[in-house]
Amino acid sequence: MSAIPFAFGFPIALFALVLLPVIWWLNRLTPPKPTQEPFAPFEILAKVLKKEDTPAKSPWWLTLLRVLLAAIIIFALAEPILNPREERLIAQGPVLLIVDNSWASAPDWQQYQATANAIINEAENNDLPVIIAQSTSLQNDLTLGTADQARQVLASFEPIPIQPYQSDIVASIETALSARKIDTAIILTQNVEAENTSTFFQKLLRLEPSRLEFITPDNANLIGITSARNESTSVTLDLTRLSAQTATSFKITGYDIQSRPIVNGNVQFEIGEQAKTADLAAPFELLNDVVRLSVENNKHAAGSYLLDDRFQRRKIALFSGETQDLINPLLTPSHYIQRAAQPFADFINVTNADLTTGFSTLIEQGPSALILSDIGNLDADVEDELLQWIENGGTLIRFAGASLAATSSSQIGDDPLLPVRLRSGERQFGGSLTWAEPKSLAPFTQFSPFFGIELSNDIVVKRQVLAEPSLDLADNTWASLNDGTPLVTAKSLGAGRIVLFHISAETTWSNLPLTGEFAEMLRRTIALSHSAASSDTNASQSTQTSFLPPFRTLSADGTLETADGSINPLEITPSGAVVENQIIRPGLFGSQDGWRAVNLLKDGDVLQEATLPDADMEITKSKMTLGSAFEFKSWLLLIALIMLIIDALIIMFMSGTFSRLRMMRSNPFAAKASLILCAVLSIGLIGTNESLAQDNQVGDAEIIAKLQSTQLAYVITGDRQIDRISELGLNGLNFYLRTRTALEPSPSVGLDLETDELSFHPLIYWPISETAPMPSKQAMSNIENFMKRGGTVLFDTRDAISNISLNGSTSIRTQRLRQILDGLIIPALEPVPTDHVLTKTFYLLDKFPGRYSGGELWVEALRPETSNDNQLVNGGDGVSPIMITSNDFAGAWAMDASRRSILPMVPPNDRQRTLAFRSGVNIVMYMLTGNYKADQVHLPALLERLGQ
Amino acid sequence: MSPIGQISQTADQTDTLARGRLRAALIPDCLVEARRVANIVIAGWHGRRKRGTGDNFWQFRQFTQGESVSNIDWRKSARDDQLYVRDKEWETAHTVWLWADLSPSMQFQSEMSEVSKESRSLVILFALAEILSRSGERIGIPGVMDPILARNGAERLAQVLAHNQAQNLRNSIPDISNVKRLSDIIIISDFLGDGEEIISQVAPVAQRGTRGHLVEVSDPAEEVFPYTGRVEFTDPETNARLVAGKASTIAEDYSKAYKNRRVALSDEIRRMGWSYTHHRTDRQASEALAAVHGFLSGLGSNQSGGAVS
Repeated sequence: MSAIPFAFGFPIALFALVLLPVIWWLNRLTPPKPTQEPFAPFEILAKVLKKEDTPAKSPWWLTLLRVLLAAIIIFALAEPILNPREERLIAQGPVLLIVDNSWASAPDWQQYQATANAIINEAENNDLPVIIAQSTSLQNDLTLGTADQARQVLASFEPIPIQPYQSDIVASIETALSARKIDTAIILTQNVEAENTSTFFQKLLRLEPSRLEFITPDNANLIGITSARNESTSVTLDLTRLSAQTATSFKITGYDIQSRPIVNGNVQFEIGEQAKTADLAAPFELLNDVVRLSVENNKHAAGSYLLDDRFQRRKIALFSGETQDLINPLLTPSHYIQRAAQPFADFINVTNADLTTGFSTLIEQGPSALILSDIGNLDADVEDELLQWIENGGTLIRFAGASLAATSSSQIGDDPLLPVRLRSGERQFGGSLTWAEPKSLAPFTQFSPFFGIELSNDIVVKRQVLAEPSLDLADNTWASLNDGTPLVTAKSLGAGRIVLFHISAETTWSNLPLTGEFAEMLRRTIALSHSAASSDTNASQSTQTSFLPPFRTLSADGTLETADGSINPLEITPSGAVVENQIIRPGLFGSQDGWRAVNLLKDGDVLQEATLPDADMEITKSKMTLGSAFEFKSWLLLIALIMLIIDALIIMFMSGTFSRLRMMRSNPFAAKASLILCAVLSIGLIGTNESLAQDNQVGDAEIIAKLQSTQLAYVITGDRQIDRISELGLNGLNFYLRTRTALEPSPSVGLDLETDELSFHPLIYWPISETAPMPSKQAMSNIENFMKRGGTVLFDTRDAISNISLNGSTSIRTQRLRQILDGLIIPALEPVPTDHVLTKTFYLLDKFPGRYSGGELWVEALRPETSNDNQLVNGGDGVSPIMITSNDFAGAWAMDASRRSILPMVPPNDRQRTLAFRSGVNIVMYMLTGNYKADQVHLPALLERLGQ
Repeated sequence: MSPIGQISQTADQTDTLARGRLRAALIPDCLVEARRVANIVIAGWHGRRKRGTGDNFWQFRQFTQGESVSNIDWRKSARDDQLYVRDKEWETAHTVWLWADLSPSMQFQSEMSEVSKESRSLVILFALAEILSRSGERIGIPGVMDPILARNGAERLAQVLAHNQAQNLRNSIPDISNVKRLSDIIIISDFLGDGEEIISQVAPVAQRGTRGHLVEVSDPAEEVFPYTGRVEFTDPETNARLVAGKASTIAEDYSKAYKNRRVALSDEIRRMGWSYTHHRTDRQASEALAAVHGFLSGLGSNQSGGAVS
């Protein structure tokens, strides 16, 4: 690679730079094109104007701009590329490309893909078959295929947060190769040492590629968390990193299950320091909620560590003092406890129900909590053992009962396994011999772990064991009845805790065990217990394994996401060990009440680079390119376009366009034209980098805009004066319609009959001009279609005044109209009869004057059968497709911007102008409503027929 | 960028006629001064303030011997012992020759004005025709239409113009050598041709005592010269071309030359006793009309003509 990462894709184009002096010379020679102006006082001008005082050459800076423009275009055509990819010299034979998409690839995945694409492109250029495989999956559907296929396969790859190198893929590769030899094997990898790296390499070498190339991303800051331990006021983390060459500081953040950051801290790595232990200090309550610890800026699975201590499913053991009631098992306290705790805890199979002898085997299984239901007396040895266990962190949950009540009466001294001193006997309310009512529960205080549980009103307690009043009784009370007597008391003992429910766990003492509150109280109590490390060595009595469903999974970038169906469940042995006979994705397994966390790195793992295999072949190692190749071509062309626009602006400036624009600010046409020009230019600019979606036809928006409202139209005759009057006239009518009727038409438009779509307009006004060219065949066929499909054309010869010519012949424009209509199928016409619907659509009119009042308005003659005597108003179902007048409607309607009429009426008569507007309103209404008004006339008859 | 000026199409006769009529409606009936038409005997509608043939009552006078008996007004005479004759006012008509220059240079219209010079000229022409025919004058176009006396003179004029389609009106100055002494001539043109030539054509007629009124119609762009940058000018008459490298630099010189031409021409014309009115197409046509009307009614012999500077 050269020092400057810059190259040309098509350097031959640079030879065109030789032409620049020629362009310079040509530019200097050609002056800008003048504007053409007719000028009547030409002779005076000729006298004034001296012979050729204009510079024959363009100014030097303009020429420079143009030469620069040419140079930029030439450079753009030479396709300059920044960061060109190094040629990898893939010579011959099939290429094997293994993309290591294990956890370490996640931060640099784009580099992986870009590099892989580049290699595939190169193989394509050399016509070599490619076999592409990802290192993490066994389900590689490997084929030796073309570059195109390889590209598709590559697109389906994504980083997976597991350890790299499933060595079995080599076997798949061999199958896919089917005895062909690969020439070059390229492995894109971060090259982190893993368990099976060396096995994989050895297997790979057996393929005997002639070259082996490792390409690694340039990422020195890979850091992983290998373990985390919850201390009382902090989390202790063990970190390891791949490269120890720099001193770096990392931020570590702890998140809760909803990925909200709770705690954070920094860890500083010195040069040469590869492993480090860090502490995240935070209150215990906060730490309890931490589920995931992540190293900032290390978005990969090893940079996140999942905790399950607080949320792990507890193992609990249950001992019951009652006799094995096999006849009514649903009434025993054990049943209630089991049903309440099953969703969030695992019960240890108590093989020996006798507590005295069974306890030691039980402890070996490492229960988090021990529930003693109505057990009064304990053997002194067991009691000591139990106390020991509690002090080491066990949680003892006791339920009262008949035997406990009896015991406490006999024992005067303190029972160390009870949180408070109990009075002998039990207290009974609401029995047949007592006055007291059964008591309900008082709301939980803020200091109780039960705080927040919603209590229902129907909980009643009929019997309880009573605590002796003492100073610390209130502190030890978690729940009490509404008379203040404690219902649940607790006491910490060493690292553990003793909790006593002052009722029995079945329904004779209270109905609490039947409620959801009981399950919740039990859940919270058990959740407070520590999860004891299970001694998974020899304790398993049964060989049956259980499965935990995936709950949350760790994504490739180290965040938690909801597990989908593709994740295998976690198989665990009865002792709690994970069965590792398949790939286990890191994540949380279980349910939201309790889960097991599986992490990528194990305690004691070290991140280090794998040693490359040693073999007698060419083994190279290189870095991925820093950035993707940057091609200047499109940007240079964009600059060239901008310069071109600047050049155009300069030319326009030099030819005086702008000073003229300023002068003619009142002229709407020029302003409009320049606006359109700007719009077209900007659209062109935007359009360079975007392609239009296919289902979006060009002009759709325009059509939709046209359909938003009614729009009258006129035919562009080419005579500027007539067209202007037509436009202003229709706009004047629009104004009148807006003020007088519910119709709000949008500004009228001129139509080129040949090219414009006519169907958007209900009415087309066609002023006849003898100077306008005859409409083409295409235009006439458009008009005919328009008329056939319900449109109406209003022809206006505008010659009512000159129609009465001296010799009685038809006027030039009438002749012209005849010529135009010659090829069309025109229905029979008649002057609007007095009973025509046109006379009644909005105003009641008997004639239709425009600027002149002499002419008639001709419409399609009514069919004789419709004009029977019964009808008050005649009007064909269809609207007349053609109307002809000679009264110059547009002239009468034309208004300027300040709503003043432009043309005088002939004779000057304001009443006639009003009538002209009314005629226009009637015509438009007739267009839009058809014979609706004709029906309206029948309204009295219709109402009568309806019997109203 | 579209050019400032353009050569518009030949103005629509009907349209200009209608506009002309509107303008004419604003002007009071034209009483053409009859100082020098004393001996003309053709009956017109203008009372000449003396006894003669006509329709309107002038005076009663006593019957004198030798007069035709049929002249006696018997109703008046019956009241009295005297015989009375009812005298009528003498009414005469006057001939006004109208001319509008319809040469290609008149078709010039810049963006600074609504209409072309030709269109404006025709409007003024028709308006004058309307006023004059309404007040009973005879109007004609030299070489095209003989003088006629008709109520609808303006329409007749328009029709003749429409059928003659301008070929005969291409000259800025008509052939007026045959115009009689006691007529008026109104010429509407831009007078951009050779000044000497115009004078040489007008002078003999003026010397004969014919009254004349020259109305110069100009486009504002011709006067203001709004051109900037590199402009190629075309002569609409000859299609000659001329390129100005920086049009704005010559604007001042041009304006001066343009105005000098007008001042020279108007001075010369006034010296001959004719009137000279300047009219710009961005102003109202009535202005020019009012000015010409003033001259025709004899008010303007010492008035300056419109906006001449």
